[in-house]
Formats: sequence, C-alpha cells, structure tokens
Amino acid sequence: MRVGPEQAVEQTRDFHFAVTWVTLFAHLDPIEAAGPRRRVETPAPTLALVPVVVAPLTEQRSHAAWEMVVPKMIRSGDGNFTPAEGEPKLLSQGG
Amino acid sequence: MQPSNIIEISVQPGVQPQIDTALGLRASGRLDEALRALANPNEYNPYLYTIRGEIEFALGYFHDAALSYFAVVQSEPDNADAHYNLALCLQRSDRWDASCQAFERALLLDPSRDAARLGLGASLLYLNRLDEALATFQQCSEAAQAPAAFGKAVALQLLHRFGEAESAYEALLASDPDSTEALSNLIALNVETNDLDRVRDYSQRLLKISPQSPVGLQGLATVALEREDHPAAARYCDRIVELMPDCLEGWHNLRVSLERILTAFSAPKPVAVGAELASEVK
Repeated sequence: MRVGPEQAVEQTRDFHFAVTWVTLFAHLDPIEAAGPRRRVETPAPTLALVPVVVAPLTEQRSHAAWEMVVPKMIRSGDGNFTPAEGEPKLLSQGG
Repeated sequence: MQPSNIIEISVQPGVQPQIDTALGLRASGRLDEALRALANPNEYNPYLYTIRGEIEFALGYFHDAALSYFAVVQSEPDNADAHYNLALCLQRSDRWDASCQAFERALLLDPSRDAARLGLGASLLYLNRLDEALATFQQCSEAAQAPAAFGKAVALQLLHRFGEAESAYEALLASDPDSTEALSNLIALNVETNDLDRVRDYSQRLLKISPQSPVGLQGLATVALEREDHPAAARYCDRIVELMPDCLEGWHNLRVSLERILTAFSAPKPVAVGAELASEVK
C-alpha cells in the first residue's frame, strides 16, 4: 500500500534514558559480627539531689531552697558503697 | 537402638548450641539449613538475631533480615553495625525513608562511617531529596572519594546542573575509564540537553567497553533517527530489539526506519542526476 501525501508521517518515539546509581550499592555490604557484642558497663550514678531543709508548706511557696549534695562514699571490699562517715549502711536496708 | 520414648535434652544452656550449629552450617555454605537452626530460640539473644539477619540478608530475605536487625537495635541501641545493617535491609526492601533514618542513627553513633553516608545519599536520591543527597556525598572522607564523586555527579544531574554533572563524570572517567554507569548517565544527560555529538561519542565509548549495551545502542539510534540516517537507525533498532524484545520504542522505531527506507526507494527519482552521481561514484 502506498503512503499518500495526505497521511501523516509516523513519528519516531524517544527512547527512555534513565539516570542510575547502582554503582553506589557496590560499596554497601552488610557488616558481619565477629562474635557476641560486649556490653558497655554504665557506671552507677553517684550523685543524688536531696532537699537540705524541708520548709513548711507556706514558706516553700516563696523561699523554696534546694541544694545538690554529693555524699562522699567509700567502696567496701564486697563492692558495695558506704558513707565515708558514720555507720556502714547498705542502701538496700533503707532509711 | 534407642527407645522412641526417650527425649534428648541438651545440657548446654541458652541458645549457644543453636548459634554454633548455624555458624557451622553457614561456613559450609548451607545457608537455608543454618537459618532453620536459628528458628524458635528459647530466649532472646542479640547475637543470635545478628547471625540470623546476616543469613537472611545473604539469602535475599531482606524484609526478614530487617526484622532480625530491628530486634537487635531495640536491645542494643548503641550498636552502630546493627543500625547500618538494618538500613541496608530497609533499602533493599525499597523502604527508602526508613532506611534514611537507620543510616542517620548509624552515623550518629559512628560519624566516620562513610558506607552509611553513601547509603544515606543513595536513599535520598531515590526520595528526590537531591540537595540533601548532594550535601551527604560532600561530607564523605577521602577514603570514599570515588563513589562519593559518582553520587555527587548523579545528584547534580538530577538537579539539572548539567555542566557540573558532566565535569564530575569526566573526572571520574579520567580515573576509571571503564565506568559504564558514568557513560550511561552521560548519554542520558546529553540526550536531555540535545547534544547529539556527545551522545554519539559517549555511546561509542560505552559500546567499546560493553558491545551489548542497550543504552549505547539507544544513544546511537537516537542520533541516527534525529539525523534521519534511516539505514543506521534501522540497524541499531534491530540490535536493540534483539537484545531487549520488550523495548516497544525499539520495535516502533525499527518499523518507522524501515518504512522510511522503503519510501525513499519507491519515491520517484529525479531524472537529471547523472552528472552528480557520476562524480560521487568516482
């Protein structure tokens, strides 16, 4: 069949050119564990925030005073801590 | 023979026997069996889940691997490796946004980790967060210079900063002339800027390295079609559809090129061309 001049000439279609970055993934490999991970020991907190003076409720409204006290502690042989002065006292024993 | 009503009970505590079995199987390449050995642990152990994640990743079960690493980072939030591996799993599961967060956590814990920065940049490119991607690649150290430069070039190209992108690709090609992806992207760049000479040059370079490259052939076909070199266009399109039978543009352009060649043959020829033809033949 002859193509007449009245028929529109069929146009070409553009190829799709994609921008890619597969190269980057060649540098992304998982890290294999060499063994069980050692836990990082976090030191027990040694500071305590305690009120020095417990003022009457009415006074607290206008003159509340707080102070940070760092008790001096001594490590005993069994790994526990006792105040530097006074009777040795385990924290778990309360008051 | 052992009576059937006797149940064997392991005397070894915890999940260590499971881990040892899995590691042995993995070392001998039996990954499926290694993974089965780690199923149903009787207690939570981050190392078991780490090994499980590694095996699942190697088997291509990226979603499962992500779940394993997710368990690890829950119990070990300071484990930069686990965050990084989780990010890779998420990336390969097409969870680009979540992978960015995991890469960022890995970088917070270990700012010197270039691989995490490259991974973050790659995910940001997928998310079309191009300025952030560019900044991320720029933060890479000298040790990751080549891949970071490639990432920068891609980000610049997608930002339509074509001149800078082309310079960046050329710098890469100076050190790695066989980078087929850099050449493919340069072809795409010059098609976009309609620089046909460069499309032709980069396509020829690419085909020299990789003679079956569809992008190289499409580049040359594009040039031939634009310049109305129908025989060349038909030749390139023929090779394209041979290599990529699903390329609809290739089939369409092959047909159009062949029709134009036939039309040229069947068109009435001018009579007084004898002198010109004679001079060409000479």
